[in-house]
Amino acid sequence: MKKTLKTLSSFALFGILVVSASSCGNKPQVDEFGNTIVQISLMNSVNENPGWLAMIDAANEVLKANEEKVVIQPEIIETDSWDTYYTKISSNLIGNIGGTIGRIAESHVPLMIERTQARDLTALVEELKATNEFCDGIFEGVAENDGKYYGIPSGTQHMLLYYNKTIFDNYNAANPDTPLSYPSSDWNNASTFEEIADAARKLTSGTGATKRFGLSAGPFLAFAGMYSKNSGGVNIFDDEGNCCIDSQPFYDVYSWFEGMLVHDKSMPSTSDTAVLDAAGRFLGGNIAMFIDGVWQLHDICKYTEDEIGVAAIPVLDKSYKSHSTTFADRFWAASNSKHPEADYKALKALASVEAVNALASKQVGGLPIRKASLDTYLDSIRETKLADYVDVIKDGSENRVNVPYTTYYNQVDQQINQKMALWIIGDMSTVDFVKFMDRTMKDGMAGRL
Amino acid sequence: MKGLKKTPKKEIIKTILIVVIIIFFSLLSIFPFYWMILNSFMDAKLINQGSVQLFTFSLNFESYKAVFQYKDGIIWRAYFNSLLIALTATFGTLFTSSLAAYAFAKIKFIGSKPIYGIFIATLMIPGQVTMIPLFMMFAKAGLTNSFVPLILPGVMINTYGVFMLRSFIVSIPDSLLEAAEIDGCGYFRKYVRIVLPLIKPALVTLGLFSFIGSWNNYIGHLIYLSDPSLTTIPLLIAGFKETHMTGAAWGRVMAGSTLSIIPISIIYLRCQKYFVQGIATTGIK
Repeated sequence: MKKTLKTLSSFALFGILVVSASSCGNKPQVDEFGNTIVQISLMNSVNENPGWLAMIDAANEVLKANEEKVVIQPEIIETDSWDTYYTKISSNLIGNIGGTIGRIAESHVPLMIERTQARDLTALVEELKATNEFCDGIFEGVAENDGKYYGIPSGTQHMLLYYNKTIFDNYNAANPDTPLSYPSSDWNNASTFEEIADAARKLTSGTGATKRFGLSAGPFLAFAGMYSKNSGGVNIFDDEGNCCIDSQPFYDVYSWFEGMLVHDKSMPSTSDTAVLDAAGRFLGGNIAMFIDGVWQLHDICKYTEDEIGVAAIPVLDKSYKSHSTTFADRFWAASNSKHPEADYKALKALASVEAVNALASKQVGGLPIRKASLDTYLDSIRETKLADYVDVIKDGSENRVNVPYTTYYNQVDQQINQKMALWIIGDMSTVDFVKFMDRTMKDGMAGRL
Repeated sequence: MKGLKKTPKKEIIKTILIVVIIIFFSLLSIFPFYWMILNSFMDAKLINQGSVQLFTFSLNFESYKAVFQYKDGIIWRAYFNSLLIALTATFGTLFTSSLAAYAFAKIKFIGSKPIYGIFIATLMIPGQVTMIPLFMMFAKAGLTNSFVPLILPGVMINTYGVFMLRSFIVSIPDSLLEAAEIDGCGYFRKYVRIVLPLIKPALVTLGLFSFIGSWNNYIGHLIYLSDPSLTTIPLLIAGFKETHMTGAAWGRVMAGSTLSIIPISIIYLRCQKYFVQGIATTGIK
């Protein structure tokens, strides 16, 4: 009898434990003032955190002023890639924990929509659009699906050609008879592929770990559309949605890369940047020219003492206008949030003039989504060593090429990157590589990956 | 001298060859750690320039200073949390695994062999398969954002540990346990007094594996922990790396990584004797 009682009480205790543990589920959080706490998931970035936190503070002020009873709290996720960040927010969404709103790279938005993780934000987008205070076409793109919007852009980032003026000046001092011009800052009259390849060849010097490369640029799929347009082609797909990679502009672009990567060795390969990435090497004066995004502006101002210039993306021929790949990361809202109304108010506050200005003043997060805030952002650059290049930075955003992200895009991208290693070491011809890119994209479109 | 056999020339060459190969592979294994420590003490600008010399060791503490200042010294909290998780998981695993191994090895009960077979078969299920169901279970129970999901599964079932310890316990002579039984020892006393002291090397080996596994469990820590106060060393190092990283942060990553291997190094050096013994006697690596 005693034994039975003991067993029964053990089971009862276990049951109580399970029930009480289960009841600890995630309920909507409310602070001591009765405000609903909306957590926003952000990927950690020491450089960018101050900007996002300033934006959140400003949004909270707006919410308070409007007596909305909502407060935004940041959830900084310690990751080093958007893929890992996406893993984290996916598990959070499954478990109904963590941020009910967040910021994610544009590349992952189609996946969030397909997996019904992102909530329909059409009403909010329409409300914001109606104010006519936002940059043209800013809401369009990957977050739009079947006439509905699933994301609010957090800012736009585009590509630029950075060059180390000190390296150019030193070269010209040593070679007064054959001086090199700085790359062109005019988007309507950009430097040509040949001019840039020639400069890259001449500015490459040294060997081993201290070798200086002439140019670093990613021959990745995300930028292929930009280079194709700068060569008279299309942005991967034609107007009917057909894949056009197997066309002359793409062969021209990848032949240009092949010349520098395989023949001149004036461009670092992936193994050259395995220990220290291209951005680090550029900042350290180990790369003379560097094609990368506006997100590097902050680091360039902070981490290098060399004189840096900014130019337009090169073109195949002067007759072509220069374009720039543009990314617009998005704020999302969880489809399974327990407080969708509060999320709506929080996102609206994050899109307010005050919040967007607060982010812009910290010079991170890319170009602001609001027309009026653009000046705040550009003024912040005028106070830096890149003051002379404000116009070229601004003009680049007007020649945008959006990456045509899809749900299968990441798979296509990964397969191409795997094959790229063979092409870079010269074991695969440019023709074969471009044909492989085309075939892989078509396989992705047909759902064969 | 007369009695000593002269070592044949062939043997000497063979020994030299073996020593050279061992030295080569040892250097190969040590090099990443050497490179990490070297860079952690370098001026961040020198790392960016790629001009770090292999044999030039400078003593610049800037990167370490940056690590300790990162988010108001959160590294101490991360250390505490990582140690708490790793130690609890390790001791829990050792306790439950050794109990189960003892039962499978020395206690005869109906169906012990089929149960053990099923138990071992679970070794073939990759951790990734159980990750999502486990996460959902813990999420439903409201136990995410706590250390429980990072400790409990390993403590409840560690098939590898049971398999390893069982192979060790089987080799303990039954006569020892029978003698203890005659002296009045029950199952648990036999386990505590006879079995545990005899399997010390295997326990140390398993403990070390378990500790390292828990200490480095980045993905587990990432998906279960959200609160900054619950951050751990792997999360912190990932935070050091971050996105849009500039070369200037490499020193910080190296310094953080160097600091992260200190506990494991201490434990390994302290338990090296048992560890080697454990591997030699169980044949498990």
